[in-house]
Amino acid sequence: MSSRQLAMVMDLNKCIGCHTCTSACKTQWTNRNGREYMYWNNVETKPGDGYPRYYEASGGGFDENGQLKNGKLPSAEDYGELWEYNYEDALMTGTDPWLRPNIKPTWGANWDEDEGAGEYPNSYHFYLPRICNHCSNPACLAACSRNAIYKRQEDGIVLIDQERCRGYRYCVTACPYKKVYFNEKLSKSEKCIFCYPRIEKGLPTACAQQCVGRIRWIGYRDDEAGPIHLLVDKYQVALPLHAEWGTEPNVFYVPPTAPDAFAADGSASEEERIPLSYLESLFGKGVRNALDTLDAEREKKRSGEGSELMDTLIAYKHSDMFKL
Amino acid sequence: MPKLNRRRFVQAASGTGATLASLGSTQALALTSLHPVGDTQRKEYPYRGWEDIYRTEYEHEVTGFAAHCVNCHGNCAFKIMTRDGIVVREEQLAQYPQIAEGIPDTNPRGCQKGAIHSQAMYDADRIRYPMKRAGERGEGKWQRISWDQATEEIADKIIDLYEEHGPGCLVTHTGTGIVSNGKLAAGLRFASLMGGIHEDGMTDVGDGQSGQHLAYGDPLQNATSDAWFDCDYLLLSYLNLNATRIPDAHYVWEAKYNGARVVTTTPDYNPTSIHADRWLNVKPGADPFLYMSMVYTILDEGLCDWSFIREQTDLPLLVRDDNGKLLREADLEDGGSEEVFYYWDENRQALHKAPGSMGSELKSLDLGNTRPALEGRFNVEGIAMQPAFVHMRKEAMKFSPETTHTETGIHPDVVREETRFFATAKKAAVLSGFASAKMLNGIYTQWAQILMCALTGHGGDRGGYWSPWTDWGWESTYLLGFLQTGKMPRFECGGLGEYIHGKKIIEARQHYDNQRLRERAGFDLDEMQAMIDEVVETGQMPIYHGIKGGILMADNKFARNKGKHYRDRILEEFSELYVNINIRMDSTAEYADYVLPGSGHYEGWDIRMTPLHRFGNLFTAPVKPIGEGKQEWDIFVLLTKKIQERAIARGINSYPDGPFTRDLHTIHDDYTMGGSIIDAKEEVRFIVENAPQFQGQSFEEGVEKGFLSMWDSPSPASAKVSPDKPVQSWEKQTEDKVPYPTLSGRITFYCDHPWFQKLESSVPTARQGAGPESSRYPYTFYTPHTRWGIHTTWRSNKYMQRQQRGEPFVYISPAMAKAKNVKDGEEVRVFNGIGEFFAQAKVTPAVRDDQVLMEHAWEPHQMRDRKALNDVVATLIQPLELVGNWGHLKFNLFRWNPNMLSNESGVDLERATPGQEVLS
Repeated sequence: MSSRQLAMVMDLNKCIGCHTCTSACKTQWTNRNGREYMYWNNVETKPGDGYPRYYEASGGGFDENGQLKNGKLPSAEDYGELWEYNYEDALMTGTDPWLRPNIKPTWGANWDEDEGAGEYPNSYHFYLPRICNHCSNPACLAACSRNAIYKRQEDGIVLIDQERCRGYRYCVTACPYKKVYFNEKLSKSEKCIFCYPRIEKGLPTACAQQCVGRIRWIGYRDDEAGPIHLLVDKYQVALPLHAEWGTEPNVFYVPPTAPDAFAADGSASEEERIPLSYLESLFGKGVRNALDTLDAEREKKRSGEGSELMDTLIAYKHSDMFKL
Repeated sequence: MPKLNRRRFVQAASGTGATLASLGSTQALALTSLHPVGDTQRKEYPYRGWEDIYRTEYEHEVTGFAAHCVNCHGNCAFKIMTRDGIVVREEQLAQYPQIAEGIPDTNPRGCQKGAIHSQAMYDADRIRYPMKRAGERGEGKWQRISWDQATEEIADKIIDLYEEHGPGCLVTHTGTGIVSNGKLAAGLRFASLMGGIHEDGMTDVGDGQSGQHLAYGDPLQNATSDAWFDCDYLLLSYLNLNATRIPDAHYVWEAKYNGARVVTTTPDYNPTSIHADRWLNVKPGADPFLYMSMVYTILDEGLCDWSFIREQTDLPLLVRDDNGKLLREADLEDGGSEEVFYYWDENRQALHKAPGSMGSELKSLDLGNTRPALEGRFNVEGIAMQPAFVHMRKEAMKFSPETTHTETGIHPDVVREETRFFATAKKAAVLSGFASAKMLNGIYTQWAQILMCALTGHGGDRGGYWSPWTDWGWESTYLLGFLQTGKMPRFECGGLGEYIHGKKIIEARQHYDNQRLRERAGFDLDEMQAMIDEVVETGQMPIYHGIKGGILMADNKFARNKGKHYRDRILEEFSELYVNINIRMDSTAEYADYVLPGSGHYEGWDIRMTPLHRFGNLFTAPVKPIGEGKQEWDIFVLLTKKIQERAIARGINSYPDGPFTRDLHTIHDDYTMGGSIIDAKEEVRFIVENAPQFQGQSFEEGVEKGFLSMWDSPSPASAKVSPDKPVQSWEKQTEDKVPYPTLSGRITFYCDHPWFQKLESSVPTARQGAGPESSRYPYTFYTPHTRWGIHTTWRSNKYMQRQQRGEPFVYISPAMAKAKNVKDGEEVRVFNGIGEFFAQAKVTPAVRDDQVLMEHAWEPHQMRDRKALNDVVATLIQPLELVGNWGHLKFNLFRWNPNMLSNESGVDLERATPGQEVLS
């Protein structure tokens, strides 16, 4: 454990799937220098195969005994080959008949957008934004044979020393979230750095600062007056993704609610539109409790009683979402 | 840290490459023999000097502010980050003040598209120089020319056209591709001085809200998005705001946490429905039936706000039994007004002239000590009459939830339950998206929704019907754009203009079965055409013929319009001249004779006011225009200079033009106000300094901060604007009893125009859309707005495409995929009798089995063989929207003229065979 730990909460009930976080991260870090194919921040539709494709079945993380589990290195195809466009030829010189990608796209960072599962009209899906979890027990760190991965003591941000890294990619396979990427151009592994150059200036990460759904809170885990403590510990409405993978993530999610389902005759059904079992497979057994708490607190707000939890999730002032 | 640039791995185009060059250091090489480190998880890591790599990459300079001048409702202040004069990044300013404690602030407005414009602006489709066509139109062959040559040739050609054909032969249209006030005023001012044809931008793109105008008399009276927050009931009707109102969507989900119930209605389980309390999966085209059944339930269960109905609506007005006409003063008094109406005062048991109508001297809705009757039959001077309420109720009683169940697919219990939630809410709002306006029966949907609001007293600070555009703060833009010139452009109908110029009736006749259309929609194409002819011939709906040339700015009409022959028909009209001012080679610029490079969002001075929040954002020219691009005001300064020079040289004087003269020999002096507004910065200063809403704030303050606050303003006309509360419509009506801008001065639910009577639509009722049932093809083709572009802007950007499928796609259901033997990712052919196109199939249970859903605004040049998605779209004109001589139902720019419709075609779909070309 580092002496302090920064953490992020993302509210999936406020996530609108706009990908402004992804754009923000892309221009901040990954539109250059061999990182072009990477999405340190991505937003995927769940249920879905995710990004990189099938990452949830790609192994890594720890077993019950705390031993590293084998993981698979995603293929270039699992990330999606980076395609380019013939703007010049198709539009400026009339030498290509129409504007199109230079290779046939077969996968990408948001390939299964808005697809989901279920059967119409009881279809269901929601958006899941993902960054590096800056885990308290990072599998990438444990797997690095060069000891080039470390947690910063002052904030717990997990970094890959870009001078020490030799690009063995053990970290890539070990991370069960597949949030470490290999930079072929530099032969080094890179990943989300929780925007530490911004954090050090007192600024939130680009993805959080620019999130227009206002779904991301940032603060220190040990700050009992901060939003992270309130959402994760006090009300327990924010849960880690796949805690069973054993890495102790420091990104937490408020699980999604969904509209009423329909019975066969079209009347309202008692069934949950998103099966509880599916949500539990992502966020663990705390889901039911978290959803019940959200319901109860919303009801308080509706009846005029007031709710500290709802007021926090509403986020009256954007700047109050970050306590650095 | 030692820095050796011996191994320079990277030279990044973005100008940040040098930072990683430090990686190739002696230290890195030394690490081939590994220095030991301790526990990197629990102890301080000893070699943290390398962290400067990313710190250096973060360095940037903020050189100014900008928003994005596109046709969204965002208007989001960004700070523009540059290195060596190149934009490397942008980030939302996020400094808007919170207007009141209990209302969330509007930070950090923006979206994924605005947040990558720094990348898109340098793409290879950027127009950098003036260019002249060097081949056939659309061939893609260009010759780079100088500004001097371009403007001189264009100026001479314009004068030739005026000499030969007189004013009125030139389209000078600024479209909705830029909705910033500076750029728009620049184009409008040119059109005003030239007398050019300028189409209604609202109905041109299908955003006209006809039902809202019909009922309230002004569809541009709405609310700021923060007004959504304190509603306790929100019905999102075709408002897919998670995708299309990205900066404002949070207010809805925060309202939900604040206790509001949120309901969405669309046939598909769209990105917004996923967060709602209830999704009403109404069948395509059946919306009016759903809302009429909610009206039924309100009446049936007595959920009415009677005092609101009596005071605010026309439902007490008396209707004659004999002819179904409203009783008018002229019926009872010699020389009486056609615009004064009556209700029956229950207190005095006598007729009473309703105050507040267009013909009434009393400009108030105050009922005084009268009590209008809503029931009963009255006889006066041998005329039998009943309140309009009786007619409204009689019609509504046809639509019980049980009756409409088959039509809508919504269970009666659900309708009743939802109606109760709506009716009993303290503040309920119907938030309508523009997709509803693009349906043939959108006018019916909106009218019924507004009736729901009015019956339950949802108006003013109790909510009501809000569509997305509010006319707020544009006074100084209009002043500069036309009023100050003392002249006017030729304002033309938008949707109807495109229909006529594009001869869309041809495809409509090929596509629709007249008989079936009549059964579903209540009219057929022959009747529609006869009505069009009548309003055009009588001048009720202005349409201009004899067009010889066009100067288009910010109007990607060849992408938007329907039917595969539309473009050729317009190019035929632009037979002698077609100039396109643009920053990007879009599907419309491609066919021009001359393309002139404008300035992008970060490259000039501008200001933008917008309908959904109260801040005017300044664009402070953070970088210079790319290539030889020029700010739009400056382009017109240059062009008018040439026109004036050439006119003088050619001995040209004024052209008389109706009430105006067109003075090409002084047009530059007139455009620049005698040289006082000579560049775009001065133009923006004029707009700021003449804007009533910015009183007490200076242009310099805006430049310093990036935005100005619209604290107080004469518009929107119906709102009571104050600094610490959201703006919402019709407060002056509900609180101060100011009449509505309608014929009766009240919210209108009875229209006795002969065409409304003929179409049996004098009161709100339900009609089907044309739908696939009126064609020979089985599936609905539905093209809602995409989250991945603002229409075609950014649609072909690689960063946006990489978050999609890289090429055009359609959503189909698993059942359709199975039936057609198509797998996700495979190519399909979508077709009907008028066209075809190819796209990738994306299979999802979120859409219906009878629906082909394709997000709109793919550039035709993005599609295989340039076969555009609109090639399969036949379209119609809603006849009710043609009415042009009834009170407030008269041609009214941005408010009332027929709308372009998008979602009324039937298609079929099959697995594509590689290389297949069925239609030529």
